[in-house]
Amino acid sequence: MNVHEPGHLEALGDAGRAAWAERVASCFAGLEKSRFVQARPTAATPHATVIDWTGFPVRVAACLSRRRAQELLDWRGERGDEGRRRLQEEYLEWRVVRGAPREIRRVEFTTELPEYWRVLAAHEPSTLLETIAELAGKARVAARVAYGDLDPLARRVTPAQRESAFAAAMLEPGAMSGYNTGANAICCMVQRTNTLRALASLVAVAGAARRVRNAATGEWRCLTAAEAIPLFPGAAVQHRASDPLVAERVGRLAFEGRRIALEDPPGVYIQGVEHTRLRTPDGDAVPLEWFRFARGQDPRFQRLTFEVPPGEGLAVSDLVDVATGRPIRFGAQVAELVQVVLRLRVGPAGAVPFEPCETLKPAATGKGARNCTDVVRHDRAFAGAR
Amino acid sequence: MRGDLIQRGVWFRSGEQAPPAFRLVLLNAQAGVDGREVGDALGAVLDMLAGLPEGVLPDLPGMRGREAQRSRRQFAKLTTLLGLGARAFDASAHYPPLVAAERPDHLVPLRGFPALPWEAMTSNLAEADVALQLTAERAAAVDIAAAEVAQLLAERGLPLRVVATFGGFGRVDRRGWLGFHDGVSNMQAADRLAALAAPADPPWMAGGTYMAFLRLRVDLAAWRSLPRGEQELLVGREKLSGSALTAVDRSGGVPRPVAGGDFVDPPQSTDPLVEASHVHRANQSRASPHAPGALRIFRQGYEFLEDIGPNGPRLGLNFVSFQRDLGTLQHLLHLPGWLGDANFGGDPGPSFITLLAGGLYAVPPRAEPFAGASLLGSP
Repeated sequence: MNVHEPGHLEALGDAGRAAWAERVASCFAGLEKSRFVQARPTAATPHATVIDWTGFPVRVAACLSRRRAQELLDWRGERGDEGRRRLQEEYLEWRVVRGAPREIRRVEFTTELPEYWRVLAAHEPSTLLETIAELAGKARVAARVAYGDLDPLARRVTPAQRESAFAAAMLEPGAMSGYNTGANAICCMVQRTNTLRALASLVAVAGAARRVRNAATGEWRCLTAAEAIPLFPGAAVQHRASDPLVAERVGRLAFEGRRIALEDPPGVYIQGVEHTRLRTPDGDAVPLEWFRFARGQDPRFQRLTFEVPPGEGLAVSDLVDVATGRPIRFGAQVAELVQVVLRLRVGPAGAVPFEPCETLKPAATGKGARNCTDVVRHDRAFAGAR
Repeated sequence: MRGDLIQRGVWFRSGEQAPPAFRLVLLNAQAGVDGREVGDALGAVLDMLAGLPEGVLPDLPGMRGREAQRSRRQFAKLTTLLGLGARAFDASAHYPPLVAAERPDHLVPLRGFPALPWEAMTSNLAEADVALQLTAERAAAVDIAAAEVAQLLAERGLPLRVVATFGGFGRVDRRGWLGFHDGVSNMQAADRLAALAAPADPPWMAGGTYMAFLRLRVDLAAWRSLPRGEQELLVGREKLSGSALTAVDRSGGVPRPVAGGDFVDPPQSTDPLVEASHVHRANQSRASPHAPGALRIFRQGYEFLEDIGPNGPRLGLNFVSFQRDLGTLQHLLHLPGWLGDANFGGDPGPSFITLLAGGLYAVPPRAEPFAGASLLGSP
């Protein structure tokens, strides 16, 4: 099958495109079992719809406090952006470029999928290095920043070897390349659940036929996130902005008897930003032009860079969010303004018979308890590192 | 819904319906007073207000029998909800601030919203130290109660003054000035507490909620000039029945709304025109408040009529919402695709609503002697 590159990028050659299609297919393998969710859009899913959320990891704030979460999420340690790798879990990751203490010059965001970058690294090493250099604001970068000791352009090096070397340098928990740890740049997402596979799995399990009877009216209804997520442990995390929303929306689409597919190209996109919440010290609203959208064709952007143009004589940290009255001190405050979307294609309501379905009793549904164990653990590590 | 700490006056519990009379009374502390003095004054005000539905009127002590019974009827369901504004936490308004505790992150003076322009605002009268939301069965009850508050403050020389009040009414037919049903797609009762109950950030707000008040002027003449079909596409409902739109018929050249969706819980739409309607913009995700990203709020609005002058009636909506986090409302009114890029509905649609006044308030959890009393201690 042919699958477009995220954001309708055109960086892959024939072999790369085939590998990308294969990679996507492997992520979507589980979807074939669903009566409602299909692996790719077809004539049966003619309508576009989006699920959108904002990029601030609300679960982390709910477990700690907003202020503490902001600090933790921006945590940069010896290995780079620790807060990002551990807890930037809303399919949006960022790095903060600081100048003087407390000064923020720039915040860079990405929703780029690690699966795509693996394929890019495996099949288009020159393009990959050019892209990294561009994202880092350099004329060129050495191959070792992305491939370690491997020479990716050597004749006998295989795509699998390139991918493995790239993953070791740029993606895996011990990866130390500053071009994806945040020291020099960020290229693609690294938090362990910010993957196409995780998203596809969530859509697959959420898009099942489940219903529960409304105790007050006696009518059938679809499940809330609090009820649904305990039914597919490991596929979604309660109290995030993204997962519960995807779980409910997809569950509801199935409840309405619609066929559901992730859009082609599959990806997570940055759709907009609440720029008017930010004001200069003079009280002027920040124009949208100070946000630079990239790595995709409008409206499928995967990268956002926020900085004040040089002529303005201001830093990002001079700006105030009027919805909180606080000056910008953390990247997380800007992440709160970024609108992230998952684009779906769906069919008409009633196209798929709802019966047979899983009819749940209210008692069988989940309580939606918050799990903060991991957040507290990371917060303790952060406190210990300071 | 037992065990919740939300103050009375948020009519969210199963079987409850907001009474039709509304008046918001806004109070500022006099210069130089501290939190404890304000707390004592508020205690006196709230005691007086609590007495009204019991037939205890300040100017009529000792009323008994049939007369007291009539007073109790007059003030039936009179309920007071107390909120604290950003001003109470602001050291530039009071030094030291009336409330020394940490200010909630989104409790700020209202700066407005990108698609909801201020109407010639010079000073925003809805920003105050304290807001008292009065609701009751009869308009006279909330109006008399508001006047009694002002009288009590003056007669006892208490260090608070009424800076503004805003009145409103609910309609039995559940329609608003636009002629459409309004506020009918609020959440199921069982889900409401998840949208309302504030987290413990700051700790003193645990179990409380937040109130947003927006005094919105509606240009009724502009609205009425729109054809009914266009109105229905902008609202997302069929005008007479309130049935949600499910599709748009484009066969005749002019888009015609197709209704048939659930009245309370409109179905997800895939038509761009329906998705741009107010019903969908205000609740794009169509998910429950158990999904924090769903941006659900609990609405409890009241219409108002200020005057009828040579230019026609000056009227609108007291938009009142309660939510677990004021950030939710900020997102809703700033995000593109929601209400950040449309005044009401459409893409971007007509602009006929302006902001006359507005304020955001923390509504502390129920406590004795009154909600928030412990915050108004000595600095």
